[in-house]
Amino acid sequence: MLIIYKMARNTFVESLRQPVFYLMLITAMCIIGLFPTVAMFVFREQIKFVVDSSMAISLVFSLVVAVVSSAHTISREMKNGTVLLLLSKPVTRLAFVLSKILGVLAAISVFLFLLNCASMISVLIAKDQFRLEYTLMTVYYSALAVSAVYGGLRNYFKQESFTSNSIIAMLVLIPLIAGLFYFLRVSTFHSAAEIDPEEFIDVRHLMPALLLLFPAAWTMGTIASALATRIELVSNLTVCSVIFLIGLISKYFAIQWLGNGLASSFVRTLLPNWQYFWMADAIAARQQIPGVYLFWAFLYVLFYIGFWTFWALAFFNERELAKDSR
Amino acid sequence: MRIFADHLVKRYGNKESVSDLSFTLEHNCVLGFIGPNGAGKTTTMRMLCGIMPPSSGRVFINDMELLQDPVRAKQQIGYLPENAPLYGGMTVRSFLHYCASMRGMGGKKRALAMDRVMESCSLRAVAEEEIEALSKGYRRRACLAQSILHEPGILVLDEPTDGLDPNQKREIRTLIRSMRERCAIIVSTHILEEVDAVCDRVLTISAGRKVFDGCVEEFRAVSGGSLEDSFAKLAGEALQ
Repeated sequence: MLIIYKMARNTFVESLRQPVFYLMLITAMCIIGLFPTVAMFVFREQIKFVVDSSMAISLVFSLVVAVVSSAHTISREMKNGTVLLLLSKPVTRLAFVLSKILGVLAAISVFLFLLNCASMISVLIAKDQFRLEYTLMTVYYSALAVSAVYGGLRNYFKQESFTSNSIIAMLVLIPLIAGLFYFLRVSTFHSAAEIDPEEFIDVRHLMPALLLLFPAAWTMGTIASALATRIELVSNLTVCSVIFLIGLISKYFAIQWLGNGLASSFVRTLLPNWQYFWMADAIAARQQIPGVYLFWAFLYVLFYIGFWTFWALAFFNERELAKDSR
Repeated sequence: MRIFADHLVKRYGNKESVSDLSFTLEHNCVLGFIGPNGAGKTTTMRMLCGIMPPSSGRVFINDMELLQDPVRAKQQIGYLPENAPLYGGMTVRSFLHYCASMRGMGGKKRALAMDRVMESCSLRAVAEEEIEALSKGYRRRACLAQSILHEPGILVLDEPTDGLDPNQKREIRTLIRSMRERCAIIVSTHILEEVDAVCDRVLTISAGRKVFDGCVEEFRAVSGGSLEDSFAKLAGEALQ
């Protein structure tokens, strides 16, 4: 177990060090921070617009990062031969595969956690139809800049990784800013009647929807990791894009072709159905997402991850490492 | 410590990369594993280290069969892969720390082992530098250091001096000779001067088949001249 933990930790750190990981993170965070400015052109639906757009960006970017991280850490490890170093040690192939998947999932979780905090901040910025919370917006973008400067200084003076240090700084600053400004806003309300649902959304209402993005990204991360034991980045990205598209329409086609019976349910369960994790519509309709739904979603994903981990192991067991790593 | 390869065969589809290869190696001996490019040296090394399973045949470390108990058997093996693959973003110290942890070493034992290999591989000066920034010689030494961290009984070195300058080659060879007392060493190479410099025994394969197994003098006697002539003769005969 300790060896799996050590390898997973190494995979996690290697994932965070990738420039592409940072590039995607900072791009997504900048875009999410800008949504409130666009929301000024939407009549009385700025919160809905920001939530919808932020969640869409978070989901799509995290799915892409899932594929890129797994391809970078697993395919590259095979290509440059470091897999030989690991497998020559008392490490089984099962331990290798498990640790890689866990490391990639941890990296995706950090990515999504930061984007979710950014979504929260974005919702707070879009407080009024005609007036943005410019102070928060300034603080938010300053925090991104400070993180980059911190990473740059660590890189310049201590030769440490720019990307991982910037991300660590973000992990401290962004949740802190989200929490602080949320409580400042809440403290201005004296009663529930004062809250205009078009201008403010309770975190307890938003949180389950944001949490549901994690299992979606984990699912894609596990699929991409399994595929990364066999195929390279571009092919992996292509296959995962197809899986993503199928997952968006699987329910419709399963019902069209197989009706509402057991076979249809089986097919819908087997194909990753991203609709299960997309709760933006429920938030727009001001419906509470029940805890039991979250429980079942996480349980479903746990089984799904187990299923793909099994395939990852099967793919990797049959993999001849010698061919590529010479 | 003893390693015994018993009728190893490796097939890729219809092609046999290694055919019926058997040999034994006891400790206190350096075996030069030579053959032309594509002869199956690297494939054999990887089978010996438990990285890839043979299509048929077995590998024994003492009396332990490698595939039956790979975790315990691998604790006795140190492996230096070809081209010395490393994690570029790590410093030398953190890389050795990571490799020691992979071997289940911790605390004082790990610190002592890291200290020992950094000394023997002359890595102290670059301990805090990122591997990415190191020269080829230092990278090779860092990779060699990870293979001897746990004081293995069997050391498998795949082209340990390939691409190094003469000084670096000499340093690595001195290091190999110094480890000869403690373990059985297999050195895969196609540089014949290496055989003369460090090996006690030579095993030659060509097209996946064993064509010679004997001491260096016997190998030289094959052609009655130089090592190059003997190598050319054996490799040529096998291909015919």
